Amino acid sequence: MRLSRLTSVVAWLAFALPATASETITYAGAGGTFQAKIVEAMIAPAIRIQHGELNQATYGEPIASLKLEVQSGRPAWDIVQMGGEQCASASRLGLLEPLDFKLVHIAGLPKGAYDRDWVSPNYYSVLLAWRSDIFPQGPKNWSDFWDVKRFKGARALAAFPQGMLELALLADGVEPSKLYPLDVERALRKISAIKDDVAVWWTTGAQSAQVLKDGEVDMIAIWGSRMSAALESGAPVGFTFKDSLINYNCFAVPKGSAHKELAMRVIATALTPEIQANIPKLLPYYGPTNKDAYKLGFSAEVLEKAKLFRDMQAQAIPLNVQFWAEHLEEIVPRYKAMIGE
Amino acid sequence: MPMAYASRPSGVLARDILLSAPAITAILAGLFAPLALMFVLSFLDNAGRLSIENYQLLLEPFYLTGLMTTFKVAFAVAFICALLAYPLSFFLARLPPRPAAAAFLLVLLPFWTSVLVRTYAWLILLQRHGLVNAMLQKLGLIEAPLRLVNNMTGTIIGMVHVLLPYLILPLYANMRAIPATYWHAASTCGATPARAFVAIYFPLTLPGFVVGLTLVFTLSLGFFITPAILGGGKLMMWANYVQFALTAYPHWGAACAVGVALLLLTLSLVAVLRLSVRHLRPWRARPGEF
Repeated sequence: MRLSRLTSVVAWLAFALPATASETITYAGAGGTFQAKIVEAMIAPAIRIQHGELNQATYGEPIASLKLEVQSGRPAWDIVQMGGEQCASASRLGLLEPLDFKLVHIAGLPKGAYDRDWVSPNYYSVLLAWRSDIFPQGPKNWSDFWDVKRFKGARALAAFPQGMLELALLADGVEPSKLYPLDVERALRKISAIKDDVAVWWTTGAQSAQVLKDGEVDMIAIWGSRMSAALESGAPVGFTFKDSLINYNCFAVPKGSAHKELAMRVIATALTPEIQANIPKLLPYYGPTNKDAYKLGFSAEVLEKAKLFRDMQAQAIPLNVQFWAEHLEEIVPRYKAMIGE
Repeated sequence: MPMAYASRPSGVLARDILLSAPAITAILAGLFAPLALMFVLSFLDNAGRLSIENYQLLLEPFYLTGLMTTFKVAFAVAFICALLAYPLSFFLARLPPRPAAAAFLLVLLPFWTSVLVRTYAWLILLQRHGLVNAMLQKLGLIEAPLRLVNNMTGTIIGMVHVLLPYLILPLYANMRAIPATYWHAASTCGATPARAFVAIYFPLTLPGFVVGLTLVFTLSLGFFITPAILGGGKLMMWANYVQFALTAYPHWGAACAVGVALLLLTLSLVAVLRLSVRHLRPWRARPGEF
């Protein structure tokens, strides 16, 4: 009699407990210190507020990995973080779940910071950085980067074209307002002109920070967070916001995700002013997209950091996400062919 | 020689097949099935229809350049490995047993370290401010640091390091089997050591040499990690094109076509090489010879 009671209690527990266990959300990003900071600033707090569990993953190249995950029918990722133009591209390929905008509130976000399948929690930048021990005066703009006679030294550009073509055109004298649609031929020719001085075409953010830190190159076009990582590690780094590019970072939910509702709630929480206010603290050169975050009021120290981003935003040129969503596929082989010649 | 199955008691064949079944299944499922799938996918376009557009893509200059680069690097690596491995194997083959065992251990040591670790180690050594440049500058041999990595040079150095044992091993085995008395015999016939080498020794080492070179060359064709890390983004070898095709196109077909092209190329190369040295049978001392 007692044994059967025990078993029925155990059976009840076995059925009841899973219902109260929390869901695990798998967040996939580009890895490294950037991912650590994004998770610390937004994802971890948001998941805690939504009573979920966090599991992290990284990818080498987002679109191919996303394709693999979605094609399997049961993607291992619930939230994926990419660059804005990559989200737009993935959206066109049908790899993302349309966001439920009843769950994900976009109040406070500027118009370009969201689309049917993705939202942007923060900006990121591409800027000109150099070794201040090699160039104490430092280049002032991209024309100086391209001036291999006055500024002799090794350079580094990204191994992908988005952002790089814009820099080449700016160096060639194109007005920022007249950049798009990009004159791809002109940009490729301009980059080709300094090809011999480009020592490294970097493929990952961590590599870009490493080559700057090691002194493998003297000048680099680099993401803001990686530049600040190199700076924090004690390397002699100089940088300028002049002619920097600004783009949206994005969160999206892979198509077929098993936890898509919770994932969307987490993303929605990450966009709230309270969570967005973490960004100036942890990612000073990047800024929150939700303007309402600034209404919350920051300490003087954080305000200083927030000002860094505001200064940059004032001088930065926005990257046109739609242009790259449409032309990335066609431009990448031409860019790689130019590098390899 | 084991007896043929025809002259064995019945049931032995069935037993042997049963015992090999797990291994055969693993190979079929893990190797042949994915290859077959890759082959099929390479003939499908974005909409899932049968088409050869993926292979037509490979005829574009972008891909042809990649093919040229891959062959150039593979040839360079095979050539440098040959230059380094032949004298080394010659020396190893003539060592007495104990030092030979120790030397062999040193040759095999790289096998016990992961390729990734070795490749990154080369990156650190060959960097602009790395150990090699620092040493050369300290010795006064160079003024400015040499560009030894993040280009084809660094990639070739890394690949030679990884592939050298693959050439040393067959060559060593072959050289070991050649009796030292052949040199004496040649000199009694009036040959100088140089002539003995050219006319007797080198031709006898050809089977092992060719096997090793084939191995090194075909392995080089498929290299991915080393050009990715040591190439500085400038070097795309055929395997890197597979990665590129995976990300660049919305369907897997293009990447599969690149993979199938590499497979077919490698198979035909191996076939050509094997046929061309068919007359060079592996040398073995016959009874009565020293």
